[in-house]
Amino acid sequence: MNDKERIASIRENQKALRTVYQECRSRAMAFMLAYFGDNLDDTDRLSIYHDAMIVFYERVIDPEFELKATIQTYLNSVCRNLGYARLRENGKLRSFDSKINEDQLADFNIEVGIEDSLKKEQKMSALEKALDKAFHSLKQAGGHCYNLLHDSWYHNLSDQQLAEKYSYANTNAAKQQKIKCQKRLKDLAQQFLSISYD
Amino acid sequence: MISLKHIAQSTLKLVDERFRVSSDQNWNELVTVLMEETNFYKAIQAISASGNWPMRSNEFELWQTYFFMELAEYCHRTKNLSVEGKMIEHPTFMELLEFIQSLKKVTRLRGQEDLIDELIKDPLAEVNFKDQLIEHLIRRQKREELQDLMDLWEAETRHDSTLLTPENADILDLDMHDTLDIGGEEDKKQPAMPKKSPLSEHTPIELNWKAAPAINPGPEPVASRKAKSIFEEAKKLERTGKPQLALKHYYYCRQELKRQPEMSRSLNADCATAIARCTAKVDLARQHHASVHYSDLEQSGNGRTSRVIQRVLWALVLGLIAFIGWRVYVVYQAEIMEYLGYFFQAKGRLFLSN
Repeated sequence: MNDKERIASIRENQKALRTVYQECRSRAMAFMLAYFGDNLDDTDRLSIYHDAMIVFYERVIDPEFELKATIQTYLNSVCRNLGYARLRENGKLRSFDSKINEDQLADFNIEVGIEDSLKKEQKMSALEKALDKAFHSLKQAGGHCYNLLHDSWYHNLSDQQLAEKYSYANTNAAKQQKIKCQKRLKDLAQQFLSISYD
Repeated sequence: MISLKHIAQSTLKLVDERFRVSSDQNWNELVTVLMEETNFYKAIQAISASGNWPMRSNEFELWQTYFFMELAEYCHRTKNLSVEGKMIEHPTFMELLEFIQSLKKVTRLRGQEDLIDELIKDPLAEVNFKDQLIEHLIRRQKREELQDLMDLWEAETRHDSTLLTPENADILDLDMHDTLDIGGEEDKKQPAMPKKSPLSEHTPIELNWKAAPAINPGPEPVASRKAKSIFEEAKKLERTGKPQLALKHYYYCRQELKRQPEMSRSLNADCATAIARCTAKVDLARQHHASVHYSDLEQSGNGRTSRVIQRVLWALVLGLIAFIGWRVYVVYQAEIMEYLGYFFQAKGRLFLSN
């Protein structure tokens, strides 16, 4: 299976991402070890790799996204960007000087043109916090609603895909179920919001 | 393109099955009521007056909520607050738009956590195995590097001629130029790149896709062949304990490969590794060479000093002995002469019979 097929299968089913995670992990970790040396510890490297996987997944599920490099190159490049961000956070960036220079980057499966990185979300508003709690309650309660909304809003599944996945009669039924779930979530969030104001 | 009428009809079904959707009803008027009315009582009156349904206020509220939720999602996705040329400013719509935007953000944060949980839960043995494999490879590589270094030291200890000096480096350079003229004339005759096949012109996407298996329809490029032969040459030189010459060959190989960036990525990587390895060897050899000379110099300097000191000491000792002898002679001259006279005269003490 080549990278193009892999991306297509990830778009169809998120579980296909697991194969990429496993296949690219060792090389990405080895690259970070070579590039950042002791400036990042094992935990940092793993955390960065996870963030890179998130960046990759969120880019892949965007239908307009087209990967120009290999998946490994993309992940390594994102790991490099995230590694710099981590060094900046830790105040180590000024003293950092990689042993691998810009000319050698291509040998380590890096493309400087890839500038994707994990967008840090701003602080959550009161409504967002209430929604987060409501989401958690929905998950605890069980049922389709949590997964349906998760698939729709995070994995960007279309109504057609939702209908197929959850065995609804048609896309309209899936859409209607989604709206009902959103209404339920909104009501729950409203309750949490009113409790927090009290 | 979204249809307000269609949304109104589909969301009405969600409120209650009693409300049957038919084409006889005045949907334009109903959509206007849904989009503009903030007073439920007035809305119900308007709907009843148009002869549609006997609707209760909570039912209308629910319908309007579903209707605006659908619209808010559409506006969020299209980033446009107008539908069918109408700007929507209803407070319920604005509230639901905020809800949808927050929903996107919250699902994203939760989704990221879930995604990682999903990926790292119950890790397969393969993952750990790969990590162990990498560690093993790194360890093995280090051992091999050390082994190479020891081989180098051994070779340089046995054959002083292989030590790098400015003199023999010049000679090596000359040798290198001779060796590197591989296929020089042939290369000029052949084109640097194979001609594009007709297939490649029709499938640009496949060619741009780097992960796709490389299918080379034409002959191997000359630069690539040349690079390979230089690489092999360099490896031989490295094996025979001439890292500096090998290093120059590797650089030359890299230069050749840069002319064909798409070709032989693995060779390029091997070349880079070899350059790093040879650089280390050369540095080490230089240090070793420098240290040998330094120790010689140090040793010779110390030896000369000690020899001078030794001579001076000997001279002092001899001088002292001579001085003591002279003083003894001066003091006991008469006795010595008398004693010696006895020795050498015929009537001396030695010859006395009585």
